[in-house]
Amino acid sequence: MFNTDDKLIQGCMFLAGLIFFAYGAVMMFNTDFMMERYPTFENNQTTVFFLNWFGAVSFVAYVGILYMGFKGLDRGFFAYAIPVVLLQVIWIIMSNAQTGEENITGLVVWIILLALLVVSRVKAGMPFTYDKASSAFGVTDKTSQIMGYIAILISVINIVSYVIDPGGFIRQTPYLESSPQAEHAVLGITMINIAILISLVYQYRVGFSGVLISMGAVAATMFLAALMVGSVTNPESGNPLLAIFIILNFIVLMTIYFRNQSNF
Amino acid sequence: MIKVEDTISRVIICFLTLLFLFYGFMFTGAESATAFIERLGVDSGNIDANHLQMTANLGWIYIVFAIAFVATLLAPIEQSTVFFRMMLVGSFINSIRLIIIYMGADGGANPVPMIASILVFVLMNILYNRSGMRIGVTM
Repeated sequence: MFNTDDKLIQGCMFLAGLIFFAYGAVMMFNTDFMMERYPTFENNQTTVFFLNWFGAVSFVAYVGILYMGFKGLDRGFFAYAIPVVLLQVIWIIMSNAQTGEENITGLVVWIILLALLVVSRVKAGMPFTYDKASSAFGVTDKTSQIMGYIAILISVINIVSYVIDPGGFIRQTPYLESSPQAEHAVLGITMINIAILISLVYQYRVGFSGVLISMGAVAATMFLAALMVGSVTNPESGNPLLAIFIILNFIVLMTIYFRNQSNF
Repeated sequence: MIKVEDTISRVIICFLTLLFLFYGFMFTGAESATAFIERLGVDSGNIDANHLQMTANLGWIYIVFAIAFVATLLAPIEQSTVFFRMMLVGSFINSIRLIIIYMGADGGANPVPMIASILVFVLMNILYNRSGMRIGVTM
């Protein structure tokens, strides 16, 4: 597994996958459990919405580990996963500071997760110097390059729009109710966007990464399916801008995936 | 990475993955499952936790099928023969069943599930034909 005989790496990656999968499954399909564990969570559709979102992100990270289990470790995965877990640890610490939360299970588990990923990366002996590819995103296909630039643009717009107007996302989504927890959740999503931007810049320099593009394709498909479910369930209370971003993201990632999948 | 060489087959498999994922997410969420059942003409007062548990179980079956379609995309097409054959027969039975329900006295509230099941059957047929899996056909 993971194209290595090193038992420590295999063990670390297995445990990391287990944590990602457990959080993904609980946050996507058993939100009541999370709400019971954290008394400051309000049991409403806004909390469920954000828990589902974070669950999907965890599940996609698990898909990345699954991919590498077959194909071997890839630096690209760590270029995304380590920043995203580190930022989530910071985000959880900020949450606990704001709410005086005494449940630190999540914090401890995500610190362990960070340690597992760092140990795997260091033990695998992957260099920290990133040689520049001969062309942008390591491909000569203009369409793939343009889609890569659009993906970077989408991430930048998401981050900048949060910086300019942190409450804008909730205000523009009639389905969601504003609360300190909900606004903090939007910060968490912005942190995930920062990690996505880091992974895109990494790919711009080093070349498209099979594991990252495959993870992106899975994420884009899941979010599009969730968007379709949302549009059927609550047809008049969605966020048109978010819908456009999800559809555009789907087109961009699928184009990159299908034009380059033979190299993965 | 993708082992299926025929472009139209790829498109069909991807579409079916999305469709099954859509129904999977629809049925696993309590709110969306309630909305779906209401659109079939059932009063929301008659939907309880046991019904939602059953729809969630059904939703997981759809999600598993979506994963299976992704697996068929990543394997040589001939390895998916039994799965495609099972889906072809299953979607045929399902579409006939939903047509009969829709034609029934109280079944005409919403034709979308019937149309979706027929669509799956037609697409599975195309997929089955294009893959050369129909017995007696040589590609």
